[in-house]
Amino acid sequence: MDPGAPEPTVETTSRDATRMARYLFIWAVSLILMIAGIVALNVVVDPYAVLGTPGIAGWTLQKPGAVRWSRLSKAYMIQRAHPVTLILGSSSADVGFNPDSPAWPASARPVFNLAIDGGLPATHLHYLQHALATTAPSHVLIEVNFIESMDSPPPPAPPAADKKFDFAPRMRVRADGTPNPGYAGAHLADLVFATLSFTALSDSLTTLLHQNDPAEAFETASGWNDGGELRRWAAEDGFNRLMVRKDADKIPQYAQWRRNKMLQIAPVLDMVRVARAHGATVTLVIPPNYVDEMESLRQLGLDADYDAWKTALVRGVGNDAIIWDFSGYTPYSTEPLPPPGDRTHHLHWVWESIHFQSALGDLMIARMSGAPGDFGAHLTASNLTSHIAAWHAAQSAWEVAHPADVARVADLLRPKH
Amino acid sequence: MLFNSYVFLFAFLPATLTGCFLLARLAGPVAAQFWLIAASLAFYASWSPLYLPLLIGSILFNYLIAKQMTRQPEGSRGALMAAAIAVDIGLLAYYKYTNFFVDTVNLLSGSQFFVAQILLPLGISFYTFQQITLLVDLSGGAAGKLRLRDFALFVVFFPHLIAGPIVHHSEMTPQFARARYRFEWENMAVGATLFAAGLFKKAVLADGIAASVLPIYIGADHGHPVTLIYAWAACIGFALQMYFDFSGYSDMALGLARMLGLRLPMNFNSPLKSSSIIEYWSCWHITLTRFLTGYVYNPLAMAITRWRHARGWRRGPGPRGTWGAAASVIAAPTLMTMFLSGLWHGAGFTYLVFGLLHGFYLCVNHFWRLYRPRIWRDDASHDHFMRPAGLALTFVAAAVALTYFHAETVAGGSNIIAGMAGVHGVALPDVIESRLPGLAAALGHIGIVFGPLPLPTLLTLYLWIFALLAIALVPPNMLQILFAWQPAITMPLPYAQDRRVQPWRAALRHLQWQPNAAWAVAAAGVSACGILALNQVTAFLYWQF
Repeated sequence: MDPGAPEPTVETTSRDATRMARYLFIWAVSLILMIAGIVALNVVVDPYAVLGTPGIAGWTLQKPGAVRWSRLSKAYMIQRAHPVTLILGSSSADVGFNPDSPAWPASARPVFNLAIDGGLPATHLHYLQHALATTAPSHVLIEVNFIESMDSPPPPAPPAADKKFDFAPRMRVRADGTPNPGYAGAHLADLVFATLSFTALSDSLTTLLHQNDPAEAFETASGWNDGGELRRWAAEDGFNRLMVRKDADKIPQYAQWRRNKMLQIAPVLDMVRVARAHGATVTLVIPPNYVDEMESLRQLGLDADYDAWKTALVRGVGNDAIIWDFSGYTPYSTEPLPPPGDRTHHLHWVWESIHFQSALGDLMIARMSGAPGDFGAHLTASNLTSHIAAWHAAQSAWEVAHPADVARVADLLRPKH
Repeated sequence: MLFNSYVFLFAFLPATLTGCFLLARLAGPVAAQFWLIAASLAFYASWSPLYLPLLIGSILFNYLIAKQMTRQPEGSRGALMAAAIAVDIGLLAYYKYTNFFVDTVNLLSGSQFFVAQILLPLGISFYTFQQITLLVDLSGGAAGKLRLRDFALFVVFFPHLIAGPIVHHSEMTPQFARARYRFEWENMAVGATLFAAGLFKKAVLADGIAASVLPIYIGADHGHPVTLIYAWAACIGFALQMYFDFSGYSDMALGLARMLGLRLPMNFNSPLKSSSIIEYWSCWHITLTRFLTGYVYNPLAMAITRWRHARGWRRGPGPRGTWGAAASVIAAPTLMTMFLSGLWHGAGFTYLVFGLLHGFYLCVNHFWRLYRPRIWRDDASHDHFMRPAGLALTFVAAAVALTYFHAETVAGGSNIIAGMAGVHGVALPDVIESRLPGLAAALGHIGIVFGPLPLPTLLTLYLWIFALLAIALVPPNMLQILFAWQPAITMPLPYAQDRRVQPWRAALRHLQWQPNAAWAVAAAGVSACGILALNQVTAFLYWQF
């Protein structure tokens, strides 16, 4: 072992102090200019709508980055919006309900879509509390989902300090509704992130380069994810591939959840309670999932739980909320799936088993606004039993008529080795 | 407080440098030294204030022992040294290995002993080793006058406190004593350039690829079989991440020291350019290798050799020696040293596998060096073939060992290794199937399956791998780029003399830093990238030790 002879310390040996000083000066000036340029670009483009910079049509209005970082962007967008109607829910509502749709009645506008991709009811509750700290909507529309009401094993924890998922620090209130003392710090960190990060720079450039690109997903100023990514996948791979991929991703998870099932509707009821306490009317919406989802629940033996969930919702909310059930065996949810490899025939109402298209969302809005029709049912304690019975009758009829689809779903649920 | 954090870059570092330079000018170098000690303790406390007393206690204990040793005759310092090292190692063992030991006993015996989770004090492995080196050197008669402030600064100096380089008392204390701690343009320019390069390596390159690598390891640890293409990407990707992470940290540490007018020893010398595992360890975490060689391997090998001589076994290893000699004089101390190296890196079976794999590699390499001339007599053809082949073999071998280093469990690491061997088959994103049905059909015939895997993620990971491989294998490293300005105590060979890069060294030998406008703008670009990447803050991989 040779620890090495002690070296003289480095001092007073400057070969050319002037050159070194000039080097550091040019470095500092260049760095300041580079950073200032990047910050200026990000401020103008405002890729996550965190700053509230007015959008420039054709340049910065549609924000692809805000879709990927919706938990960040919507937390700040809602503070500037003053909606009459507020939409809550998961990705189904995020892509399905367009706040700018003409289907909304004038009395319900403006509308803001605060649905959170991948969020659970507790997440939506927290965002509702956050929104009510700065806005006072008259109506709150909440998309509720049976699967999300199952007490499932927690997903793998996201990496620490992952701004994409860790939303709680940037909420104005804590989960218990009291003011969040860490909000100012989180807000500052988000401002730095939105103006001085590679991610923001990349998303600013994407915003500029892909403005009005139909293959890109955008978040509108009213919080709607226009479903561009799903549209692109459907165009490139066909609806069959889109459906198979989603089913392969989701349905095996249901089998996992079956072993841990325990209905949790408390966060939904809490959302109703909180919204009512702020004077808003509340509508709960059960979305029109594609038939694959319903068939998989039946084959997993979760039918009774599904009925129990609806029953618990109806009893739990009482007269505090209206419940619209758009699930079931309708022409929209049983539209024939194009065969594998077919990229020319489209599904018109859903993207895949759990995301409905905004065209169907418009029909739902219209129905909830009083349009006549037989799509969807207003669930009440008095019609619940007959509704469930009719629902299962339609289910049985569909199964008899579609043995191949029943077998296809059964194959998805079979353990793979 | 990470080096790659806003608070360090824009608050701690400017305040520390300004305070040091001002105090040195106004009150002299001793005041600056105390300032640096206080700043270093504040730096440590920002991480784990609860363990600050432990650090200070360890310093005082070792200082008093060292002081006592200097009062004793050289030949009689052994007992005191042994007792002090026992306390140091005991403390390290308590904090680092208690939980592991109890868990292992429970696993092997089925018992259910319970010990609450003991948090590892940050940097304890590093500062314990550094103090042990001093005690051992003192026992052998080395080290001169000891002053508490020099000793304390030697241990807590913030650039190396948490993750090295592991420095020797003899190479730092004289610098601390002689330094003026004044602002020097050259020190600032060279140090800041090295720091910026390290920040870029860590925040942009290492953290950049980490985002693509981590999900595969998480899946492997959760028991999802990793298929061939993903397994290779995970294995090679993490090896590159680790290299850029730790060498980036070391560059930052050297740069910080240089800003203050001090030099630390080189810790990395382009190890991925190595064509043998022996060469690799002489270039990877060099100060740890130096410690293990000097304080573990050499004493073990000497003791075994003496033991053999005492029994009259005088034939050594080598072509004319015996296999027994080779096994006892080379293999035994190598395996023992690397076993301890694994244990030092972490309290877990994955680290032991990491260490033992490297022990095995080193034994194979040593035996190859001893016996190869019998099998392959032509040195020229051997070198011609083995330089590229050895480079690939060394890199893959090191990457395989690092797979266990990163995996949470041995099963998780083995999952990836099995995937690399093709045990879990080959899977590709199904988007290929839908867009290139002809190709997909052909691939399907040779057993490749298609699944719902994201193609952009896979492509991104492979792009990262090729880019980082090129950076790691081709250009000079930062110490070679800054060679003329000697930023470290120990330096690599100049790039123009580095035979590992013979194919392109003529073309790139002029890539030498100069304090001119072009380099300043380049450094600004690198710094800007580093600052922009600070938002993806992740801890250094070596800070868990």
